[in-house]
Amino acid sequence: MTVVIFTTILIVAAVLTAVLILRANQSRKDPIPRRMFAMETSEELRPSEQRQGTHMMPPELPDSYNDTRLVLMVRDPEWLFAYWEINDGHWENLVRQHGEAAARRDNITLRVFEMSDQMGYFDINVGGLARDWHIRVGKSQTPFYCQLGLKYYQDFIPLAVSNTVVTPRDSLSSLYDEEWMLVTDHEQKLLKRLGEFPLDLTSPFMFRKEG
Amino acid sequence: MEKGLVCLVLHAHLPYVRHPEGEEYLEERWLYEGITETYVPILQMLEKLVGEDINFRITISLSPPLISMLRDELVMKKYKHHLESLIELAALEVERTRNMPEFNYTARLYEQRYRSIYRTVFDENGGNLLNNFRKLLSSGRAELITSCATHGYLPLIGTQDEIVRAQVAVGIELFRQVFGQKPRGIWLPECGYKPGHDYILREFGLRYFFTDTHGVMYASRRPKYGVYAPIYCPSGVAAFGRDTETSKQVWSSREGYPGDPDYREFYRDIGYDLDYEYIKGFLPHGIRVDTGLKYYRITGKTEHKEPYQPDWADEKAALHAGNFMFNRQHQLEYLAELMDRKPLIVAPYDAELFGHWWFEGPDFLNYFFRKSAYDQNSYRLVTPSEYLEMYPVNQVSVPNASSWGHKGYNEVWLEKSNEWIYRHLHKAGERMINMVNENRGAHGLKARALNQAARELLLAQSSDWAFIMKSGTMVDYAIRRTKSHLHNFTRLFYAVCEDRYDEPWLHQLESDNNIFPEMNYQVFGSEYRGTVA
Repeated sequence: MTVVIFTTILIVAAVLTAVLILRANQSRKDPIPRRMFAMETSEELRPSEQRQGTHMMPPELPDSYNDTRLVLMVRDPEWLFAYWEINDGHWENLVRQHGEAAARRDNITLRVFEMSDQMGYFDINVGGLARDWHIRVGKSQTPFYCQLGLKYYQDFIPLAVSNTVVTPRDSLSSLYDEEWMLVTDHEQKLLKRLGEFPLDLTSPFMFRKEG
Repeated sequence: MEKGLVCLVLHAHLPYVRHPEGEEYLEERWLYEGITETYVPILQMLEKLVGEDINFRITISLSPPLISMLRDELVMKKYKHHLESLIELAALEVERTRNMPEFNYTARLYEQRYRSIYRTVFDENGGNLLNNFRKLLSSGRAELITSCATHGYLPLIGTQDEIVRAQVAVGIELFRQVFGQKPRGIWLPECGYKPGHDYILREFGLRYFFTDTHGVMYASRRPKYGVYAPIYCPSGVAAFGRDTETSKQVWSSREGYPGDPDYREFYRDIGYDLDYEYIKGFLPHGIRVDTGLKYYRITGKTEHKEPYQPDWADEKAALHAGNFMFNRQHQLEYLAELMDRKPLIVAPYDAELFGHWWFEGPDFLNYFFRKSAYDQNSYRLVTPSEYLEMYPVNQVSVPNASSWGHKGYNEVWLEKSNEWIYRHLHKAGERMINMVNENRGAHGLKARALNQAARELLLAQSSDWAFIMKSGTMVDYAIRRTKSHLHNFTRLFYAVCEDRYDEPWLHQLESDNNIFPEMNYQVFGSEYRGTVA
């Protein structure tokens, strides 16, 4: 009886192993989302016999370039992106000059200036760990710049000033060209024909989103 | 007399994926697939139209990395090897499917197709596909343009004008070397435009570029004709805006043509479907990838797929081309009523959509050109240059900062997966500019190091790396490329600063990352200006 059970177990195990091997070798039939040019996923990459170094990840890029700088970039009509770094020497000077209470990394603040008619600003306390920030400004067609500084009670000690950027427009301009007027109902017809702008009609995204 | 005009634009681009260090590199297959499935079928189709004297117009943008790979002997030698192996596989498939009538016909077509591609590329042109593009250019039916040096996304890398100028200058110079003339227009990578960049384009004598619909529609002054006529930037360079209807009809897999059940299914490839032992010899390092041989049609939205019927697909391509023509006729007849000039429809697409994603895409274009020439009188196909000759006076307005990426602005290239690259790219750009300004008359090893630094920086700036990081597949490759080019750049920067060079290393780098052999580092100088002549 024991022999029979043992043999049965062996047979079942053998069959299972065979099935597993077969399945492992079986073709992969599920459609895999791939980017243009049919790339396989990175998990499938195996070590190759190619020249060493080309498949190895190069060392990390430097954390800092020993600069004090603040760079502002535009993401879309509502969002900006800023990155910065503060040079160590610059920081030590600040501590010496303003004292440790003011020159604390927790006090690092991004002050975003809107350069419109009513020049205004708002502050984001970014602290000492962040090195970049997505800033929601929510205002298209508007110039902005920012300052990185230390906010200590009512004082703001600037560390770096950014470049100026202008957010893009997200609607039709209200500025008409006198020499290039289209009779109003014609314009409405033309705009109607154009429909809504999809803002994403490029290949890989379309195929992935709807495919 | 026609009522309107249609301008069809194909933008052909692939990142520079030349890897001399290994026999088979997965990423090089992007180029092989591009050549086999898109570039050659489109060239063959257009050459046939020219041969039959069919009147058509097409505008093709060839990106500098693509041009560089197509003229690289090593790359084309590796492609030859790849194509030979593909022909061998197709022949095996004809044999394997000989008792499977539902697949055998398609297998035979693949074999014929690959052999014909081999003849076109290697027997007739000695492996130089650019010859075919030159012939096409001289036919007067195609307007060829180019793009920025490494397809750098200008709105984000171009914090300094010098960087934008260098990307433009190197692209234009390569085009001039290859085609013997300067391009009249440029394809801004990803249609990424930032107001002011047009002044740099003007320096190089460029007459036009393309934007997405909202680039023109949201211009500083409301565009009188919508996107149905270009606008002039204050610099005098024209911006052509993309039409929405033609985009949807082709791009959208829901309402667009490529999703038709009769068309070939992209995701069923024998590289995945067939027994591993049988197919492994044709897979790079035995890794399952697409081979290009696919036997099923889209069939429907479920997993169930029916065998591909090439004749049905061909018929559908003709039907869709007819529908596309019919829609243009109606669209233009309607618009002509509203405008006091001929409306223009600008329809730009990624070239790789045709043939690679949408297998029947080149057939669709073929039928569209033929039908446009013979079956209608409502519109005429034009190139942007022809349009500007016809209508040299246009409304002046500043196009909106925009791109044709997802959501229409910069987010695809500036989000959590890829935002980290910019502090490094900007720093390297700043160093490059300073280094060039301080070493204007360099020669010998220093000049070589400066030129290689320029190549490494340009390669790091390629928009493809940020895109791949965002798209989530092959991310490691994109990160590796970004970091390694930046490391190479930094090492060269210090070498130039210290005036000490590791010649064997430099030599190796020149040979490995050999894009733009005639690189002139001076294009990064602050005093450098483009010349119109």
